[in-house]
Parts: sequence; C-alpha cells; structure tokens
Amino acid sequence: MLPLPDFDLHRPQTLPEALRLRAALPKARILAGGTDLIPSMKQGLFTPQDVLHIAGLAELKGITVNADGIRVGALTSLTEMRRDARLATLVPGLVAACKSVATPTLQNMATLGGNLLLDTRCRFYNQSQFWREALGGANAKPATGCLKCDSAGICHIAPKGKGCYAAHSADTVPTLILLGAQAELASVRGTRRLAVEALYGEDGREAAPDRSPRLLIAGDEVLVAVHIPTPTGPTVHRKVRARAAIDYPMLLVAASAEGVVLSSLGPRPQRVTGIQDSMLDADIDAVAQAAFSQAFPLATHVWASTWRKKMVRVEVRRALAELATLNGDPR
Amino acid sequence: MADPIILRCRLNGTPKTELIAPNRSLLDFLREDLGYTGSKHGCDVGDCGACTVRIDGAPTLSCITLAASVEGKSLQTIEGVAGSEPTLVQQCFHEHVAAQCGYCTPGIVLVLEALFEEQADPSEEAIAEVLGSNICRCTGYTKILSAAIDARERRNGRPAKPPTPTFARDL
Ligand SMILES: Cc1cc2nc3c(=O)[nH]c(=O)nc-3n(C[C@H](O)[C@H](O)[C@H](O)COP(=O)(O)OP(=O)(O)OC[C@H]3O[C@@H](n4cnc5c(N)ncnc54)[C@H](O)[C@@H]3O)c2cc1C
Ligand code: SF4
Ligand code: FES
Ligand code: FES
Repeated sequence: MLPLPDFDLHRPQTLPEALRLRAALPKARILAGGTDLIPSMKQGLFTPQDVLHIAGLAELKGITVNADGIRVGALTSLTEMRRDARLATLVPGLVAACKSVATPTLQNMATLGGNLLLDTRCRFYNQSQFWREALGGANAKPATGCLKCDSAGICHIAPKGKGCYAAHSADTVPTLILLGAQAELASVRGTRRLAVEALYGEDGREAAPDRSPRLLIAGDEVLVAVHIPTPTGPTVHRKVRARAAIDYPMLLVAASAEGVVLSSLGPRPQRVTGIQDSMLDADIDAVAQAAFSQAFPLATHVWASTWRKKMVRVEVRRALAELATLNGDPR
Repeated sequence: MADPIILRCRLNGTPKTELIAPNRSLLDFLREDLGYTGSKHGCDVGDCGACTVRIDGAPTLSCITLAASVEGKSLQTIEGVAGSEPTLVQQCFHEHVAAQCGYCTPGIVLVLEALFEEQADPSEEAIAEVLGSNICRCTGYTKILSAAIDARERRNGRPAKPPTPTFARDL
C-alpha cells in the first residue's frame, strides 16, 4: 500500500472562496480529478500540508457554445467532452485527443484543466519513492532521485546539464494550440486570459534557477476555463504509445491548416517552424523533414530516443495525409 | 495528523456515515475500514483497473480517489452488482470461464455493467475500448471479450454465442 501524505483537505464551494484559499495557502496543491496529483503524492513526489479540492466549484463546470466559440470549464471531464454532440461537430480532432487519454475509466475522472496543467513526465521521475531511492542521486542525501525531485540531485538524462527535460505529455494540448485556445486564469487579483501556447516554460521543473518553469502561471492562479474560437477547419491528433490504451504518449503530433505541433519530446510543445505555406498546400515530405530536424527527444522514455525521432517524420507525414483527406484532397 | 472528517454516502444502496482521515483513499476506506474486499488492490497508482468502483454510475479508480470526495454520492462495488441471481454479465463470465485468477474480474464486470447501461448494443470496438481500462494478466482477454459479446447478444434477445471449445474443456 502506498500511503498518501498527511494533509488538511479544503473543499471550497465557490470560486471566490477557492481564490482566497489559494492566495492564503500558496503551497497547497489543487486537486481536480486527481489522476495526476494522487499517483504523484502516493509516489512521494509531493507532500503538501494542504490540498484544495476544487471539485465543488460550479463556475468551473460545463460546456457552452456561442457565436464567439466554445467555453469548456476546467473541471469538465474528458468523458463529458467525448459525449458532447456540439464538440463532436465543431472540434472532432479535440474529441479524438480526449479519447486517446489513458482509458475510458480514467477519462471519467480526468478534467480538461488537469490535462492542461499535467506535470511533465520522465522515466526517472514517475516512480515510487522506493524505486527512486534505489536509483539514488549523486549528491542527494538521502537519495531521493533526480533533479526534478530534489535540487541537490542530478539529472539522469543529462547529468552534466543544469536543466530538467521531462516531457510534456498532455494529449489535448497540441490540438488546443492549433485551435488558438486560451486559458482563463483567475486569482484574488483578477482574471486574465493567456494563450494555451504561452502556458509552458523551458524547464520540466516547477521552479528552475536559470530557465523558465514548466508552467507560466502565477502561484495564486486557478484555471477556470478554456476558450476555443470557432474553428475554421479540421485538426488531426496523432499519438505514439506502446499500447493502444493506458499509456502516456511518447510522441504527439497535431496538424491543421495553420501548422504542425509536436509534443512529448521535451518540457513544452513545439511548433514546426520555417514552413511558409498553409499545411494544405505544403509539400508533406518537406514538412516531415523540417519536423524531424527540429525534434530533439531525450531518453525521458523507455523507448529509444533515436526511434522516437524517426517516428516524428513518419507521424507528421501520416498526420498531413489524414488532414488532406479530411479536406477532400486525396494525396 | 489532520482532523478526521465525516463522510456520508450510499454504498450499494445503503446509507453510510463514517469518520475518515482526509488522506484516506477510497480503496483503503472500502477494503480496510468497511471490509468490502471485492475491490482489488493492484498497482495503487491508477494503472490497472483492479480497484474499479462506480460512483454515481461512472466507473472510477478507487485507489486514486479520496474517500472524502464521494461525499453525498452513490457508490457501487462488485458486492452490490448481483441481486439474488448473478447478472447476465456475471453469468456469461461463468459460462465462458472468463475469470482465471479472478483478480481483474470485479473491475471488468463493473465497467461492462456500466457500458451496457449506457449503450444497449455496443459494438465490439466499444467493448474492447472499455476493456482497455483494466489489465488482465491471465486470460489474454479472449474469453473476457467472448463473454462480453455473449452478454450483449443475449441482452438484446439474440441467440447466445456459446464459448468456443478450448483444449482444457475437451480433456
Ligand atoms: C494510468 C494513467 C494514464 C494516463 N495517461 C494519460 C495520457 O495518455 N494522456 C494524458 O494527457 N494524460 C494521461 N494521464 C493523466 C491524466 O489522467 C490526465 O492528464 C487528466 O486530464 C488530468 O486531469 P485531473 O483532473 O485528473 O488532474 P489532477 O491530478 O487533479 O491535476 C493535475 C495538475 O493540475 C493542477 N490543476 C488541476 N486543475 C486545476 C485548476 N483548475 N487550476 C489550477 N491547477 C489545477 C493540479 O494541482 C495538478 O498539479 C494518465 C493518468 C494515469 C493515472
Ligand atoms: S529529465 Fe532529468 S531532472 Fe528531469 S525528471 Fe528526468 S532525470 Fe529528472
Ligand atoms: S489498484 Fe487502482 S488502478 Fe491499479
Ligand atoms: S483473470 Fe487473472 S488477472 Fe484477469
């Protein structure tokens, strides 16, 4: 049995109450569906004194669609998104991304907000305390694992480096980036919107001395909703994983006329750059080659990073061919 | 130790009021505090589905759910599935010998019951997709899938799809 740390549980019932608690307890962890946070707490990665369980906040629930686009509350479960007839018509590519997360049972629990803010992952990090202690960390005493767990530790992927390269693994995010989605963030100081693309920093850790942290949101902010402008064309979501269920991605590729986004290669999703044309006119092999040359996967996954890099070319080709078919162009 | 909190919920139709620690997992609450050991303790971190229970109908992993979060909700565990007779899914599992060690079986029966409540006549792909929520190390899923398909046929008034003879059965 993996025990959970001892914490006080706070269960705000309104957003203002939640924001006040968030501001008063800066070290508290926010619990939504818990499918990321609870396994991590069981593995001893986080030992918060306070947990803010936000499941009771009505303001964060539900899907609304109007002339400007779609608003999905942060607490909306991926199952609710899969079952929504309006999303199926407007953003089938996003629904496909929800469907590829974990398993149907986990999708019942998993929230969209939790998916956006999912911790970065690495084979040396997402392990039990016992496993990580056995691995040790050159400098950490007691040895608790790598740099992401302990600033005195070392990175086992790049031992001479100063950063953490743990992989962004959220299935819905590459598609949301292509759709131009924005995150609505609230705190006691007010509300603001930030492009989903601008949520993520350079390093895999929550705080990094010389690089931007994995999330570029303030410590007192709560994610309230995701706003998606009315889409103008289809998106394609492709995922490489070992099994067709359960597994986190080892590579994600999303494509639309606007561009191609790669993820699970490092701490944040990346756009393939240097392509002038719309993806509907661009030469598929040229985009695939550009993506390949811009991808630098590290050994954060059990599968060889050289193979993951090769799969970038393969999956970008497949994504663009699928996109062409959706647009009625049988290339 | 954090102060205990009061939890009120319904378990298999019966109202319960219990005192729990805020960090108690729903699985430990069911197994250790209430003695409902039908929900199994597998990986403990959300990977395997052995601990599946239904919360307000939806299959949920109890090992990564706080007991405190089922306040006011209705829980169903495998103990609450059968009436005086086994359900059709359970009957088909029995006839198809779809349980070997049986460790995965409670979770799988619950996800199938939930699927059939939602979709009267799911496709084989839909059945296979929900089975992806649960790891079975014994059966290779063949018998589980054939039991599930048989249950689907029979609940829709179509003829049974009896188990295909296996080597063991022929002995
Ligand atoms: C076996 C397994 C397989 C998985 N496979 C995948 C996969 O293939 N793809 C994938 O994308 N995910 C996967 N997941 C992770 C997870 O199920 C999803 O990412 C899910 O959407 C996370 O949402 P949650 O509500 O459960 O998050 P939680 O665990 O509740 O929260 C995740 C993080 O976000 C923070 N947070 C959550 N909501 C808010 C908010 N509104 N405001 C501020 N902070 C917030 C939390 O503090 C926490 O740090 C898997 C999980 C498991 C256990
Ligand atoms: S990339 Fe390095 S520091 Fe980051 S989680 Fe992996 S081993 Fe740890
Ligand atoms: S014991 Fe809960 S998913 Fe494995
Ligand atoms: S019957 Fe043994 S794990 Fe499924």
